[in-house]
Amino acid sequence: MRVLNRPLAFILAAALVVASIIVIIEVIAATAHHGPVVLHWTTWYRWAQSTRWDARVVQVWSAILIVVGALILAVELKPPRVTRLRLHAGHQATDAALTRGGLAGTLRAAATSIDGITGAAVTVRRGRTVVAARAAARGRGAADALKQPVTDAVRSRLDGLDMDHPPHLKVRVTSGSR
Amino acid sequence: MHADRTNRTALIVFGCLVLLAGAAGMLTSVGVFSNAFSKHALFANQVSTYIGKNGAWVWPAAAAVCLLIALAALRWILVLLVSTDRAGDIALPGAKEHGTTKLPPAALTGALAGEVGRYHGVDSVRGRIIGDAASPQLVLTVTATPTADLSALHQRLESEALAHARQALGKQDLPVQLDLDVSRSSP
Repeated sequence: MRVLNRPLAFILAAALVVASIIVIIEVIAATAHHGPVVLHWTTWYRWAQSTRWDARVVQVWSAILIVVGALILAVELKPPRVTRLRLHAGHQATDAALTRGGLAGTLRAAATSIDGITGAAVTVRRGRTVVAARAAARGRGAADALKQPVTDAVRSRLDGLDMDHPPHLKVRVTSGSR
Repeated sequence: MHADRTNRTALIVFGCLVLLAGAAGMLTSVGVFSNAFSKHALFANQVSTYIGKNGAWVWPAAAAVCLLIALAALRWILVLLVSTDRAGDIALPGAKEHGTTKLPPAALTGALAGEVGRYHGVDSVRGRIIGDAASPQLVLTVTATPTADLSALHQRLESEALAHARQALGKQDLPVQLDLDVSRSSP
């Protein structure tokens, strides 16, 4: 779930309730020939009667509305982050997946299972996974020598997961001197 | 009703309305529609004139619409605050002459967690039953140890735990969302 949606929705719903109730109260008050009760709308009415469309204040408020609307749409229409990576399921009613963190964790374990690798950072993005392993030995040659074993281990682990759409894999090994 | 889809739809509609209002105001202000019109006062237009002439029924009608909006928004707030996607007690299939057997979702998820928790390579298990009690869905999150054979664990979960869950509910087509995770801590 988009974490931001619930508070935003609550604020919007509460604003709608408050605004609607104010309109209802003011309409009833105006019908009964009373002045403004909750909101001094007559001030706004006079302001709108005397303010022209080309006034600076109209442009500023229009710009604010454009920015707020664009921000809300950008947040809502942005493609959601990949959190689940589908696995082949043995039953048609089963939707099996590996979490993003799960894929990173298992590939990290595969990389660090190679002798000479002290740690690994795994980045999982849509369709692409980068494994950056750290070699214990110093020097470029030592890191290069470990690249193939690490790639084989990580590739084997990835292939064994039986994913619907396996990500493109990129492996880097850096030497301990860095 | 689970509110997530409603929230997103309402926010998209609201965002569109705010953006369109801002764009219309800006375009009018800079004279895109008409230079003469941009010199007019905000209320010097046909809509304002019409409302001014027909205020006797327009404003009560607006108040009635606002009442509907307020009621809908209150229901929305209620759903936001108290809604849950968790299923209630599930009626098990069988002869109903002597009554109905109901299974609390926690009993099923507890039994599943107990079974899966004993599998090799499993660190923790969380389960919940969502949806309507008549057509429930099982959501099972299994966290494995970093060195676990995920493929073997996945196969075992499907052939044993999930099969047992479907058997217990008497629903061979029980929808299951299985999420496999890997613990961050060393085994």
